[in-house]
Amino acid sequence: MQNRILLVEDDETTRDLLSIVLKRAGYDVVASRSVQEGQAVLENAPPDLLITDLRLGAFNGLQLIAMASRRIPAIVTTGFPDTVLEADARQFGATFLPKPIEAAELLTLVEELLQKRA
Amino acid sequence: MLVRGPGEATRAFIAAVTPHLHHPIYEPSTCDVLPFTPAAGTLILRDVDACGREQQQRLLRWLEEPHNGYTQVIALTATQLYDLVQAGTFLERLYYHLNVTQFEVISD
Repeated sequence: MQNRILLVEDDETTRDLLSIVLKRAGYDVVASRSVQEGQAVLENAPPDLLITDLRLGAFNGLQLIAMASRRIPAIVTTGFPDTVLEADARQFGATFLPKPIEAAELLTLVEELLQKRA
Repeated sequence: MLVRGPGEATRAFIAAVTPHLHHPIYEPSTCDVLPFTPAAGTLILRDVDACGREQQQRLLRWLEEPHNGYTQVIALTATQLYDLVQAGTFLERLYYHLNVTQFEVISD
């Protein structure tokens, strides 16, 4: 059975590119543009892994992790290096991945996190 | 944590969650960060939307310094803080530091 990944990213180009990379690697990808859309997916069709951008307009992607009703592996991405938010992400058990994201690095990390979960 | 709502609602929220907060609790009367670094506990910042640029920068520097222990920060605001970010009057970096979790409270 395919592992399902929720991708939350408000930049359309980044969202499309990451979706393609993940789908080509064999994952089922649900792509959302916002924290609100992401929260709906988390509640109604929980994925196996979450990849979320940090700065999502008025919202912080960490809210998806902090407010989730169940714990799932998560990767937090950002183009703005930030040691405070990196520490916050770790506090929530998430892995911090700064942009630009290398496809190979992302896929290795996704595989590792899904294997740990299994 | 960012808590948005009218003054009485945010006061009631703080009163309700106080037993669950890390102690000691620091509540400065202005946006100016304390002259000492708490070892651990909770910092409550009232009216963070009224903080001036210099105070925001000072607060941002304080947040980005390493601290001993873990300090929980609760920022209270009556306005939509992101509107101030978009208007250029509130530091974006500081906004995302404060807005890790967000609650909106309303008056009864």
